[in-house]
Amino acid sequence: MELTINHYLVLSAILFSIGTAGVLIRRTGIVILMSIELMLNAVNITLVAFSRYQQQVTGEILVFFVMAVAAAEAAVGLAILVVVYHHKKSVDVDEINSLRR
Amino acid sequence: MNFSEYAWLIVFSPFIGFLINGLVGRKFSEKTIGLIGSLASTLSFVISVLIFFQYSALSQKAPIQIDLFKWIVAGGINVSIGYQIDSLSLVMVLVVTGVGSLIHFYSIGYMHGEKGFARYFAYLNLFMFSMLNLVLGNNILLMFLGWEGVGLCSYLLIGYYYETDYAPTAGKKAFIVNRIGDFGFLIGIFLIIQNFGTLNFTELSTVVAKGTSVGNDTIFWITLMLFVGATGKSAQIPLYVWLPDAMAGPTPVSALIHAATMVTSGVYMIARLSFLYVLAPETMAIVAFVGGATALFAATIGTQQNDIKKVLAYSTVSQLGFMFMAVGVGAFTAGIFHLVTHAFFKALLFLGSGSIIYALHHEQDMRNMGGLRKKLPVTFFTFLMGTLAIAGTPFFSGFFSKDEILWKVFNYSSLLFWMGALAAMLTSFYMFRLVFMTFFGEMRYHEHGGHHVHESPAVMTVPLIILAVLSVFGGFMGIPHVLDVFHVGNYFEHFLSSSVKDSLPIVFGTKEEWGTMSLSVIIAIIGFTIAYVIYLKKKYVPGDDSTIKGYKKVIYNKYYVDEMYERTVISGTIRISKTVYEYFDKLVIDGIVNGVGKSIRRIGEGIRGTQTGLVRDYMLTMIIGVSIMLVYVLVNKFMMIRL
Amino acid sequence: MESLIKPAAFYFFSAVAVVTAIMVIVKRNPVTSGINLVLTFCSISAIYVLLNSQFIAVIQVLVYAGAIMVLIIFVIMLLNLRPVESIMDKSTGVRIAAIFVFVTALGVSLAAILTSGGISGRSGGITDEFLAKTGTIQVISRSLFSEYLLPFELTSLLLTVAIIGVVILAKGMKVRKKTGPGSE
Repeated sequence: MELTINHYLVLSAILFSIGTAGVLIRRTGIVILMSIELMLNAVNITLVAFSRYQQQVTGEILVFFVMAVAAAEAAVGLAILVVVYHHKKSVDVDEINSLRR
Repeated sequence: MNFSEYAWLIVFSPFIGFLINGLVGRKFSEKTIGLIGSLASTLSFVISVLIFFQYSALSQKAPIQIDLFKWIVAGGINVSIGYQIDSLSLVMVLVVTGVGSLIHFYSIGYMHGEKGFARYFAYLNLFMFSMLNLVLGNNILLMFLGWEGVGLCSYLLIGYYYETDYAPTAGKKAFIVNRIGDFGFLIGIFLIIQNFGTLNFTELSTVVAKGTSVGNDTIFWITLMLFVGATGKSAQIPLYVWLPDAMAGPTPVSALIHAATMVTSGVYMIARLSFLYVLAPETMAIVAFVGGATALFAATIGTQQNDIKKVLAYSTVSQLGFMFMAVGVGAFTAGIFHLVTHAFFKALLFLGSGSIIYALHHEQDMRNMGGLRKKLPVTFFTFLMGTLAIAGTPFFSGFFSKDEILWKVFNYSSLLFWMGALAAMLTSFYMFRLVFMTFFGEMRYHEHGGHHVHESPAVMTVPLIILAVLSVFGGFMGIPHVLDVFHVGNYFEHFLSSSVKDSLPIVFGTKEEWGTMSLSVIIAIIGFTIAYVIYLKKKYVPGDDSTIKGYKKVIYNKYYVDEMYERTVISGTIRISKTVYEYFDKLVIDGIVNGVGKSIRRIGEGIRGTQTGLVRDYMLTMIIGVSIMLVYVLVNKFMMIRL
Repeated sequence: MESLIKPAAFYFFSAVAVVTAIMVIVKRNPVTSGINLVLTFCSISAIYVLLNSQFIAVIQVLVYAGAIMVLIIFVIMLLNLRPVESIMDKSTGVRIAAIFVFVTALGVSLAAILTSGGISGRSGGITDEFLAKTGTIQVISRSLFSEYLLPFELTSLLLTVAIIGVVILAKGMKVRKKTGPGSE
C-alpha cells in the first residue's frame, strides 16, 4: 500500500476544518489563537507534501516563512490579549465588540 | 515694432488688475487699489492707441487676427480664443478703454471712503475685461462670453450697495431682463452654427459674400433673434425697463456701463454682423422702427422725471434708440459714430451728475437742487458742454452724429425721420430742463451743519474736463460733406469703411441735407426755448409726487409699463412656477428624492443588525463566502468533466 | 515489510493529530487545550519525517511545540484563566452556522482533493535518493541563502517589528498613564 499525496492532503483538510470550527465556536481568545495555529499547521502539511511530491524545495522554504509569521503573530496576538485582559478582566471575545461603536 | 502682437495685453491687463484687487485688494490702501485698477485700464488704452496709429497708417486695412488658443473643438465646430483687430473693433476698444480709464480715475475720488473699495475696482476691471472680449473677439461665441461677462458685472455693480433694499432688486431685474434677451441671442448663435457651421466673423462674411444657400427666412430669424439679444442688452422696447432701475449703482458705473459702453454693445453687434443684416431687410426695418419708437418713447418719459440720474437713464435709452434707428436703416457708420460721441457726452453728463450727487451727499432729486452754478463751477461748465452736445447745438459732437442719423433716416422713411426729430426736440427740452432745475434758480438744498457744498477734487474734475473737450470737438472726425468746406473728408466713415460699409442708398441731394440739418437745429432751439420759459423764466419746480396730476402723472410713472409687466408677465410666471412647485416639485421630485433617501435608510436599518461588532461573526460570513466560491469552482469542474 | 511500516505510522500519527486537534477545541480548560495542541504539533512533526523532510520536522518541534506553545501556556498561567462553563456560543444560530461551515469546508476540500487527477507540473529533481546523499538542511539552506535571501532578511525585519510591537503593547499603557515629571 503506497502513501499518495492525497493522504496528506486529506489529513490537512481535516485539521484545517477542525481549526476553523474552533475559531468559530470558541469564545476564549487564547483557544481561538490555538485554533489559528492549528489551521496554519494544516496548511504547512499541504505545502511540505506538495514540495516533496514535486521533488522541490520551494514549499519547505515557504513553510519556514509561515513559521516565522506564526511566531510573530502568536507573540503580538498574545500581547493584545494581555492588554485586553487588563482592560476587561476577561478574554471572552464576545465582550470585545467595540467595532460596533 | 508690431504693436498688434501685444493686443492680448489690452484684454488681459484689466483681468490682472481684477485678480490683484479681487484677491488681495482688501489689504491695500485706497490709493493703491485705485491706482492698480486705473493703471490696468490705462495700459490697455495706451496699447490700443499705439495699435490704432500703426493700423491707420496701413494702406491695406485687412483685419489682423490674433489666435491665442483653441477653445472648443467639437465636430465641425472650431472655436478659438482669438481677437480680431480691424477699424470697427479699434474704434470700440478706443472708446471702451479711453472712457473707461477716465471713469476709473474719477471713481478714485467718487468712491472715496466707501465700503468695499477694492471690490468696486475689481468689478470695474472685470467689466473692462469682459467688454474688451466682447468687442475684440473674433467669433460670436467669444463675443457672447463677453456679453454675459458684462451682464454679470453690471448685475454686481448695480447691486453694489447690497445693504439697501432697492439696489439688489434692481440688480436682479437687470440680470433677469437681460436673460430674456440673451435667450434670443443664444438661439441666434445656434441657428448660425446649424446653418453656417462657423462662428468666426471673417469666415462667416466670406461664406456670405460668396453667396450662401441659406434661405432668406433663416437669415431673417437669425438676425431677429440676435436683435432680441440686443434689445435686452441695449435697453430697447420692450426690454428697456431694467436700465432706469440700474441707476441704483454708483454713478461712475452708470456712466461707464449703463451709458458709454455696455449698453451700446447691441449696436456694435449689429454693425459687426452688418453683412448678415443687410440680407434681411425685414429685420432691418424692425430694428429701425423699434429704435425710433424707443427714442421717442423714452424721451417723453425723460421730460417728467425728477431724479437727475433717471433723466439721464431715459436719455440713454432714447439715444440708444437713435443708434438702432441708424443701423436699422443701414447707416452703420452713422450708428457707430453716434455711439462714440454719445459715449463722450453721456459719460460726461453722468460723471457731472455724479459730481453733483457727491457734493450734495447723495441727494439725487432735482427738486432739492438749484443754483449750483456758482458752487460747482467746473461741474457746471462741463455739464453745460455735455448738454449742448446732446441737444445738437451746431458744431458740438452730438450735432454731427445726430444730424447724420436724421439725414440718413430721412432717406429711408419720412415717418421715422419725424419720430427722430420729435425725440430730438424732447431731448433738447429735458436736458435744458435738467440744467435749469439743477444749476439755475434758487438753491433749494439745505446745507447741514458742517457740510458745505463745494467743488469735487481734481481727480474727478480732470476727467470731466477731458470728456468735455471730447464732447465739444469729437464730432469733427465725422464732418458731413455739406459742411466740409476745407475738403478734409469724413475721416470716421473713411476709417470704418474697411470693416463696415453703409447699405443705405442716398436718394436725396444736398438741398434736402441742408434742410434736415437746419430743421434739427430749429428743433433743438424749440426744445431749449420751452425749457427756458417754463423752468427759468417761470421758475417752475414740480411739486411732491402726490401733486402730479393728469397726463404728467402717467408719464412720471413711466406709462405704468413696469406695473403692466408686473401684472402680466411677472405674476403669470410666478403663478405657473407656484403651480409647478406645488404639483411637480413637491410630489414628483421631492417624492423621488425622499423616496431614495428613505429606502436607503430602511435598507441600512435592516442590514445594521448584521454588524454585531464581533470579529467572529465577520469571520463566519467570510468563511461562508469562501465555501460558496469553492462549491462554485467544484460544480464548474464537474460540469466540465460531464461535458 | 518497510512498505507497511510507513502507512501504519502515517495512520497512527494522523489519528493522534486529528483526535488531539478535536480535543483542543472541545476542552473547557485552556490548559488542557494547550497540552493537546502540543501533542498535535508533535504528531505533525512525525508526519514531516514520513515526508522525508527532517529539517521542517525539527523546527516544527522547536518553534511550535517549544516556543509558541510555551508562550501560550505561559500567558494562560499569567492570566490565570479558569475553565469555561460551555465551550459553545450561547446563540444556537451561530452553533448551526459553525457546524454547517465545518461540514461544508471539510466536504468541499475533500471533494476537491479526491476528485483531482493527482499532481501535475514540473518535477524539481530533488528526489529522496538525492536527499539521502546531501541531506535536507544543505538543500534548503542553499536555496534560502541564495534565491530567497531577500525574503529571509525581511523575515528578520518582521520579527523585529513584532518584538517592538509586543513591547509597546505590553508596556505602552502604563507609560502613557504616567505623564508626570520623573517618568521615563
